[in-house]
Amino acid sequence: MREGPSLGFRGRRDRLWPIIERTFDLGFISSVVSGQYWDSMSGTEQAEMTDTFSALTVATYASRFDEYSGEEFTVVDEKPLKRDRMLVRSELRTSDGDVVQLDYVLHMTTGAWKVINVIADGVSDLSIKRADYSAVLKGAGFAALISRLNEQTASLASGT
Amino acid sequence: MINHPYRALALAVVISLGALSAGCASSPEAREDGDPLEPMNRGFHGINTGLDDLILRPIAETYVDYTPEPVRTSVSNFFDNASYANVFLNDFLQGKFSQGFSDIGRFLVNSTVGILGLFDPATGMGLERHDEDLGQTLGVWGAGEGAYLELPFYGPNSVRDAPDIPVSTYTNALFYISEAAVTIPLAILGIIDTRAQFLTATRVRDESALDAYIFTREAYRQRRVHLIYDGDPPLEEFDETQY
Repeated sequence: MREGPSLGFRGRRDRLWPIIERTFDLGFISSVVSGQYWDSMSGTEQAEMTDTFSALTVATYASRFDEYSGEEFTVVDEKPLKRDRMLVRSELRTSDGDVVQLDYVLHMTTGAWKVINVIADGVSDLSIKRADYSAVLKGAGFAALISRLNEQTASLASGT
Repeated sequence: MINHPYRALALAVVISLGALSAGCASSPEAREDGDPLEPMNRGFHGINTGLDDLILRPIAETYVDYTPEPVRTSVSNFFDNASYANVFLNDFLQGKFSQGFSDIGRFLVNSTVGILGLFDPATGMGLERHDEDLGQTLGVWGAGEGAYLELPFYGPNSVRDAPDIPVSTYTNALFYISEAAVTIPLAILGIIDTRAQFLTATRVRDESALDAYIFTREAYRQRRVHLIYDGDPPLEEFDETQY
């Protein structure tokens, strides 16, 4: 985000929120990161999980896009996957020449392609979060997970 | 004879791996997360995190803050080049012959024209850097990951990847320098350089992980699969096994 520094965290968050909601299928992602525990949540809990996770996702992007220092983003390839999914492979090149391979998995939902996973140099965001969150859901339960995710969102917001 | 601690360490790892694989044979990996040694791993994770918070990370951060980037790049280049025999050894073990010869060329060019590896003229000549090790070779040969391991001081590893530790030690050019006045400072600088390269990754982890042990474990495993496939895994890897 080129105008990142002048916007401040709140400015970036407000600007990114609608973009992220449009680009990512946050409801689907929330269900995947909850692992096997999603199905045993009530409808209210599922909605709360989705809201909490969405706020955290937006806050994460808002805190990381704090400055633009010459990164270049190139789409390398697009490939169809099974079950009407699509893989978009891209590269992020930093100004000092480091390259991060970013792979996006998208699926079609309500007439639009939406991102359901981001894989950075082979490391899948979704799989890590599912393992991480499942362990909390298993050990400490739903309320504990929600409160820890809210803490993370709050700490990202107070970071800058 | 500064090499002794390395030799002892390599030997200890080999012996403990033998013991581990014997132990694993009697208790197959019944756990779905492939982490039958989690209690032991978490113990070492605690020790590693404690040492890192107290000593290693602060030193690496200071190093990054006060060392100009071209110097840090040269330091990384130097250690990368010194250990590069392991890359072309494993190129050949994986049957990647043209990559193997290219990597020998890279090592020769950077060791000479690149002044002991401090500079990297080879990349500009089309001799690109590759990332191979014995764990990847075993993966290419079809070995499964085996139990996940978090080793004291080394950090994340696995039964499949740990045999690389003695091999990468013996193929490292610095292993054959026997002058303690040279090897001790170099070993320390090498550790700081390695840690510095992971600063961004651990910062991201500490921001987003609820459980740093699980985050590290999952990231390590996926990264290894990515490396085994040289960054281009078959499309099934993105498919339904995940979600």
